[in-house]
Order: sequence, then C-alpha cells, then structure tokens
Amino acid sequence: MSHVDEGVLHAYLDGELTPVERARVDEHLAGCLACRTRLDEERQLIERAGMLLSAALPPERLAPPLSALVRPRDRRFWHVRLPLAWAATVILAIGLGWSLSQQLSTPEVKTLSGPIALRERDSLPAQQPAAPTVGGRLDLRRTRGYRGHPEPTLAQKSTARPDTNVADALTAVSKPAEEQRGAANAATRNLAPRMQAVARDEAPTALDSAAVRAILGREPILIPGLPVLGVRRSPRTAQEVVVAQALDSTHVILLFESRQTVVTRSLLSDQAVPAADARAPAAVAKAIPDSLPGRFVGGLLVEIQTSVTTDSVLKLLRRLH
Amino acid sequence: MPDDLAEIYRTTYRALVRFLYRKVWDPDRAEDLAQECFARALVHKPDNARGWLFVVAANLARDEARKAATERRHLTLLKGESEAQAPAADDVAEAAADRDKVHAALDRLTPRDREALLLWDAGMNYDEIASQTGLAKGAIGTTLARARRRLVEAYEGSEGEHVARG
Repeated sequence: MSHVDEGVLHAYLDGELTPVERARVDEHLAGCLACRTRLDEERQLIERAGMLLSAALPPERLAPPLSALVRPRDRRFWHVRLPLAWAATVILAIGLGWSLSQQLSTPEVKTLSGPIALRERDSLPAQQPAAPTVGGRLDLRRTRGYRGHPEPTLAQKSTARPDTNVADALTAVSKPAEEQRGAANAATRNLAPRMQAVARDEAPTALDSAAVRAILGREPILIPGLPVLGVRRSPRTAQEVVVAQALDSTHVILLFESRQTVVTRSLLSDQAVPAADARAPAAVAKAIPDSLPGRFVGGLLVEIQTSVTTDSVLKLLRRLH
Repeated sequence: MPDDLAEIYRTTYRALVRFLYRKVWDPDRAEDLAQECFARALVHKPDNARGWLFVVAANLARDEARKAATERRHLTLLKGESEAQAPAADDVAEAAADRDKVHAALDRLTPRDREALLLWDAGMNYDEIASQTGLAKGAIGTTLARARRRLVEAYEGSEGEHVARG
C-alpha cells in the first residue's frame, strides 16, 4: 500500500473511516515510520485548530424552552417570565408605517393609528382618563419607509378632544435629548434635530426623578439598555408620564405610564382577575383583531401592528426580558 | 410538539448557536437565528431535522450577511455603547482580541473549507457534512485537513504580523 494521504489521516483521526478502511490504515502505519510521524503532525494540527475555534465561542446562555419558540400565529398569546418590575400593562403599538419625516411635512397627521384609538376609547371611558388598569402604553414609531397616511378612524374623527399626543410626545422626546443626554449616541443625534422641528409651545413639562416618583409612586419602567431620551408629563393627563427611549436611529419608543394596579395574570388564564384590574385588559383583549399577533408577557401586553421585520421585533422583545 | 425535535433541541441548540455565531459574530443574533431555525422546524416538521436545521441556519446566516449595512451599523453602535460603559478587564480584552484573530483567520478560508470546518466543529459527521456541502464523503477528510491547516497558518501568520508591528 502506498503512503496514507492527508485526507485519510484526518478521517482516521476523526473516527470517520469504515472498519475495513481503518484496518488497512492501521496495517500500513504499523510498518511505515514516515506515516506515523505524519499522523502525529496531523493530530497536533487537529488539536490546534480545535483550540483556535474554541477561542471563538459565544457566551453560554440558557436556551429558552422550545415551547416558547412556537410561532405567534400558532399560539396567540404566550407567556414569558418577566421581572416583577415589568408587571404593568403596556400595549406596544408599532405604528403601521409611521414615518416621522412624513409627519414633519404633514403635521396634520397627529393621531395614533386607528386600532389604538379605538381600543383606548373602548377601555378608557372619557370620564376616567387616568383609569388605573391600562397604565402603560408603549409606542414604537418608525421614522422612515412610510408610503402613505392612514385614513383617520371613526374614533379619531369623533373624538371630542383632538389628539395631539404625537406632536406633544415628540416634543417630549426632543428637548431632553439635547439637554440631558449630552453623550447621546449618534442614533439619538440623528433623530433629535428632526424631532425638534415639531416642537410646540404647549410642550409638556419635563420631570425630574422626584416628580416622576410622585406621579407614579415608583420608578418609571424603562426598557433596559436603551438610551432614555427624556421623561415628561403626559400631554393627556397629569397622572401620566411619557418616557421616550431610542431603539435605534429610526425608532423611538414612547412609554406612557401612570400609577396603576399591577396586572399579574394572563388573559388566557381562567382565573378570576380582581375586579379593579379586570375590565380594561379584557376590553383590550376583545378589541384586538384576530389578525394581530399579541403576546401577554407577564403583566405586559405586547402588541405588534406592523410590517416591521420579525427580526426587529424579536430584538425588541429580547430587550423586554 | 414532536419528541424527537425536543430532543434535538436539547442536544443541538448550543451547537447551532456556535455554528451561527462564527458566521454572524454577534451572540444575540446567533441565538435569535438559532431560535428562528427551531421555530421553523416546529412548523415544517422536517424528516431529518438536524441536517435541515443546519441548512436553514446556513441560509439565514447568508441572508444576514446580505442585509443592509445600515442596520448592522446601528446595531454595532448600540452594542458598542453598552460595551463602552463597562471597561473591559484585561483578560476579557485579551479573549476578545483572540476571538477577533480567529474570526480573521476563518475569513481567510474558502467558503467551502470554512463551512466544512464549522459543521464538523458543530458536531456533524462526514456524511452530514457531505450532504450539506454537496461534497463527496471521500473528499471531506481532505477538505477538513486543508481547512485546519489554513486556519492555523492564518492565525499564526496574523500573530507574526502583530509581533512585527508591535
């Protein structure tokens, strides 16, 4: 038998030869010093390469349960554990096609997308603007890629109080970005000047941390790891604050928070929910059309209403953990 | 949920993350993509789930590489900031430098050699690597031998460059 070639030596060392092939190589090695020497060299090479690859390992993390990976369309709501600090009801509305730049050029578009406005009306009677049950709302806005303006919904048309949330909330975002976050990242810097362009005279008041605690009775909920652009009094009600955080240079998240009772049970659980907590979440649940995927994450309702990519949403949801 | 997929998830998830990590070089992204692979497997219920998962993973990683550079820049920016807030200890910095060198060395392999090497390191056998890469099984040993040699040479070559520069 001629000398054993390099590929066969590697297959031999990798344990990938058939018994017959292996026996043949063993037989040759027994009588060939040169091939035994090469075998040692190749063994060292394999070990060295393996060692190098092991220097490029991702951090070991616990894998989520496989059941958590079931697609939203297969399972409307699913449960992911959250720290108790997150036990608030928050609706994440990724505004369909919200475009800040478009909005700047057409400031008459001020309202939230229709389903949100409808839901707010359903769940929050006008007489109770600071109803304790739906205390948080998380808006994620896209600042480009917009192709048209949504037709105002019936709710928006009929609302007695013109909803100036967006312009005001955007104002809430802009100034703190300049004042409080000198070291804000480039994403923030990109966004802030454009947002400042829509600043209004009736800009909501910036709040210091003591004022926020006074309103909420706790620290505001933040999405970990995202730069906080500012905390302002909500333009809607004095019992609500708006926390603005930058997801990246194209998305701003507005978190509307009020003092509230904590909703700790899932919509899907059949357990009775205390009366004080029950009404609004139930109303929200009913109002969510079947086509919208939604997650009830602990006490946090995360609703996706958008064409934003799954990757972006997953990245955001990861941050919510 | 099929039992066998649950078992494959238990035994293969980390390997799939590792495989993806060496393609996207972002641990969060690697985990996202690995979970995406299993989420798809739950829907498609493929026969050879293990091989299927690695095919999907390779495709996702390839798509990832084609994605707009802008998105990547944003993520890097966010990541860079959070890292900058916590000054890295020396050994952490050293490990990161080592990883970067391995990354650079892997980049110098041909795509086929690199794929074979990463699949082997993810725990696939020659048969599986052959079916994944389209190579003959008999060629896998030679491919791996070449890939390993080039990896080590590229890594040590880069060390030589550092010494020369330093």
